[in-house]
Amino acid sequence: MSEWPEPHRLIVVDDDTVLRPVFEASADDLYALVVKNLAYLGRFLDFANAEYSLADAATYLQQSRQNWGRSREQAYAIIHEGELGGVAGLHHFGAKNRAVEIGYWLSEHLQGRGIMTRCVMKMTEMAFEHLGVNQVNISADVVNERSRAIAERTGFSFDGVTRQWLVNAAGELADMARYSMLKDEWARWRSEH
Amino acid sequence: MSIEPPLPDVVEVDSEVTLRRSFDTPPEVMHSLIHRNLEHLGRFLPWALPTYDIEGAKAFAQMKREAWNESGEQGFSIYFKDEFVGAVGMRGFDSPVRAATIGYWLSEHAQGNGVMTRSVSALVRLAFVTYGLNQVIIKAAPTNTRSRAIPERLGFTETGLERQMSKNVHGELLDLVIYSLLRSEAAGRVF
Ligand SMILES: CC(C)(COP(=O)(O)OP(=O)(O)OC[C@H]1O[C@@H](n2cnc3c(N)ncnc32)[C@H](O)[C@@H]1OP(=O)(O)O)[C@@H](O)C(=O)NCCC(=O)NCCS
Ligand SMILES: CC(C)(COP(=O)(O)OP(=O)(O)OC[C@H]1O[C@@H](n2cnc3c(N)ncnc32)[C@H](O)[C@@H]1OP(=O)(O)O)[C@@H](O)C(=O)NCCC(=O)NCCS
Repeated sequence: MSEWPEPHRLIVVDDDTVLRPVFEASADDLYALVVKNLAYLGRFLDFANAEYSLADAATYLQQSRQNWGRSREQAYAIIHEGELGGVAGLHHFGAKNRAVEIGYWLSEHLQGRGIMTRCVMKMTEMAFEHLGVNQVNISADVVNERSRAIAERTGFSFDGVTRQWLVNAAGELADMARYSMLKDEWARWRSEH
Repeated sequence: MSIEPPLPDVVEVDSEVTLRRSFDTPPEVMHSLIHRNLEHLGRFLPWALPTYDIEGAKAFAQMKREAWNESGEQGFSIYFKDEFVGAVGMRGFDSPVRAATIGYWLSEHAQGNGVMTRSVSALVRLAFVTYGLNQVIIKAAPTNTRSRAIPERLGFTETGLERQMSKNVHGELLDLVIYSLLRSEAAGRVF
């Protein structure tokens, strides 16, 4: 059961938004977007720190290309109105229990429009219906209310808080809220929405 | 990556209970006890299968011998009054958030004597005192009352579920209840 189907290369999210393999984005665009959002992203994502460089962006894209389809990681660029607006990816593929995790970030100027909520729903759909996973997980720093709201809005169950499990921007241990959705819950959610 | 300081070969838990490196138990002895307990263990563990044989026990011991004191799971055999009765293991020595996870099993006939509670206490001590770890985690299926009683008896906090993250020998997916004990909570208490 460790074989996974080839992931989709284009996912239409809404009239203005599509997902494409992140490595199709340019390192320049990714670097510029991260730097523009450095302090905002850095609150919860450790790659977004003062040392972030164009080379980091290029390395990340290259790794994403290598990992693509090998079920280690499938990262998508969120293309909103033709421009890179963020990243949403599947990672932590569990071959044994067929679980996968969704992670994401969005440029600050695109917040508040439901873009990420729709991206997460599409990725969840792909995970269950195309990749055939049994479970999708989302986790976030307990104080990351916007991120938690996405999991809550998209019908995930709150499974609890793993204590002192993340290292935050201040270098302190932070608690992690965990959410999950199981295959049969997806089917139910699907039929109700 | 090697564990520093190196793990002890033997942990004297108390006058009745001793832990020894799992591969120091002869594979025949390991096999015989597990074989007698297949039904008991298989309810909550995925590996206690009828296909488990002496060759499997030997291969397992060899693998553990080669990986001793490395970063993965490190297992001890439990001896109660000099008799081999079960196992307890710990992983996470190299965890970036300094959290260890403990797992265990005991022969059915050796239950009810506090052997596992005492063995787990010894590993908790090892985790906090010797290795300066920050947290110890124990996971057990919701219906595994005896297993859950161990962290509960030791004052762990229940922090949530991992759904369908475990399996038994019948292929049933099992949820896991997560218990954790922080270093700050253990301070000043006797383990
Ligand atoms: C986490 C993050 C993606 C959330 O962004 P977001 O804009 O709140 O999420 P969405 O794009 O789904 O938008 C939801 C918002 O749009 C509103 N909205 C408008 N139209 C909507 C629609 N059709 N559907 C859903 N929500 C809609 C919602 O009400 C919500 O606004 P509110 O929070 O003011 O109530 C973003 O804050 C981020 O990238 N943060 C930094 C990085 C990070 O923390 N990543 C996650 C690590 S776990
Ligand atoms: C889980 C398992 C190890 C628990 O075994 P256990 O014997 O209940 O646990 P302990 O050895 O700590 O013994 C506790 C019992 O001894 C009693 N006891 C006696 N002396 C004691 C002492 N000094 N300290 C603590 N308890 C003591 C306790 O009151 C308790 O008895 P009770 O169950 O009648 O209330 C065992 O049931 C097992 O291996 N099950 C199958 C495999 C499995 O499920 N593994 C765990 C997967 S998560």
